[in-house]
Amino acid sequence: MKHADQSDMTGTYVKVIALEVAILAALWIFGRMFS
Amino acid sequence: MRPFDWLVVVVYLVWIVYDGLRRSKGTDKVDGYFLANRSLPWWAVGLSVMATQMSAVTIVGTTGQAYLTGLRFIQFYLGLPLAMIILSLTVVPFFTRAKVYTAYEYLERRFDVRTRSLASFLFLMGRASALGVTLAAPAVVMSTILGWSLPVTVFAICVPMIFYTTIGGVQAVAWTDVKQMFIVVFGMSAAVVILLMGIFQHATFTQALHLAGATGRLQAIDFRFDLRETYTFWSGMIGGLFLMLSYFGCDQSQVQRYLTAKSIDEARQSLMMSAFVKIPLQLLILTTGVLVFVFYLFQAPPMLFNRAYDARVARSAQAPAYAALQHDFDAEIATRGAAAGRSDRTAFLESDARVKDIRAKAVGVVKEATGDERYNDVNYVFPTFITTQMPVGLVGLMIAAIFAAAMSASGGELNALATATVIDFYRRHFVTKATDSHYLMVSKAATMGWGLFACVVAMYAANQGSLIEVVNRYGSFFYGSLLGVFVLAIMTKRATARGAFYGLITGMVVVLIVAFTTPIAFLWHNLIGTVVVVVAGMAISMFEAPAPARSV
Repeated sequence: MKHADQSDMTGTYVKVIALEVAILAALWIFGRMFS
Repeated sequence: MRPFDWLVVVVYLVWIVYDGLRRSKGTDKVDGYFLANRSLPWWAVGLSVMATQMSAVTIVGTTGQAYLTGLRFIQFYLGLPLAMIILSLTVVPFFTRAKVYTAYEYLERRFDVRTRSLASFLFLMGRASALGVTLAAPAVVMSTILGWSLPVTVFAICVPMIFYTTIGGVQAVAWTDVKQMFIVVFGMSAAVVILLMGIFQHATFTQALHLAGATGRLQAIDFRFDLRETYTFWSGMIGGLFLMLSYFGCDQSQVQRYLTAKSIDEARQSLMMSAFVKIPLQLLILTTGVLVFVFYLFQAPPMLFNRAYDARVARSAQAPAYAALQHDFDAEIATRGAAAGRSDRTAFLESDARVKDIRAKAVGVVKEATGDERYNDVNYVFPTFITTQMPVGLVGLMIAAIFAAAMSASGGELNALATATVIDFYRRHFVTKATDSHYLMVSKAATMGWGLFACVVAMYAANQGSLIEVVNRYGSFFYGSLLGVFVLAIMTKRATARGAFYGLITGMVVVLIVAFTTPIAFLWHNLIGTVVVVVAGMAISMFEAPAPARSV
């Protein structure tokens, strides 16, 4: 639902998810490389 | 601690208190005292949100845990970014538009006063207990360093914190939090640099990573689905998501942070700051703990980091056994260091296992000699490194950071406890029509009262295993159920007041039964609590006529 007192933050949410996926992938690869 | 370190600690703490009070303008009314007149910028609210969650427990307990077990604790935070997005879309606009002081006020508007009072009561009990633990962490550190008794140390931390929180209200808390975040990030970064400089004298970066990795300390992500395992990808993503939703959406100590923001957008941006920064920040802290482990492969560590009982053990009948273990430990540390230096993986792992075994036996001897069955040294690892390995000035800064972290995190919680006490109970049930100045006076008295209560709890919480887990376990007893009742309130129109109230009680009872009778790890308790409250609440509601629509 759209409200006048709040703006669309979809782009920010996508960036948050992308960052988490990147961190998860990096940690997983890192753990495999140095185990 | 040298005199210059003491000077750094004292100057920093005086500045924190002075600046907190200086910024507390406009707190002569209840709205200013509890909500900063809804005037704070998003970045200050965002830093305050993170500072309230990242207490001294995080610095002391998390580094200790990473030293012993590695990066796997990061999984606890995996649900946080998604939780922040969900909250930004749901409760943040809801609470901000509703112009409430507490999250629980909304429950009365949607259901009834008893559901509001029960939810607020659960928050008060859980948060007051956790607040004691939050204060205990730095007390443990300082009592070890200074040789002070625990009560004296607890009061040394509490008195300034209670002082500026009581007088300055939420503004003093928020601006103190902002400073704390900067000092903590700077201090932890400095610790990482010192650790790397020490490690590079004996090993390359790649060798260091292989050594940490060989012991499993770099295995951050565990994809096994095992309900008994505390930290896995699934417990973090699912159980952790529900915990974070509940903590940031239903816990007044967090809700109150973003209620101080200028607008809905600023409140949402403050949560997005956590969504972006929290996991990298936790990784920095956990990495510090892992680096402390690698550092002590090349520098002899103490056999046990908690030296509180050294004298007692030396005087006890177990003294010869302890001395023999110390002898074995010294020899094994030399063997492990040599194996690490020549990158002999097999010899290194065998020696590391023997070091672990000797440490476990030493803990057993201390327990036998002192009768303290809760003895452990998890929370002493990083403080020991700070005070024995860091250069003059930085030692003072790190100790100041731990002190300030305890004070600012506790200040936020104290302010929230006072808000819930006054708004949800005193003003709602006891003195319903009084002047603003009367409520302000009662609010300050409540802040001081909760502060003193927390001090007493802190003295008993100091030795309860890994402190970070103690805090999270306390929370998981009631967080999921609280989230469940907010889901009923916000997401459903059919739920009735009776359904919400008895659903909440059912959720609490089920979580307690699960916690005490099954091996299910505590992060899952949040999911269980939420689901049970929603299912039970809806089932009870179905036996009643739908409530008439209300404006909330």
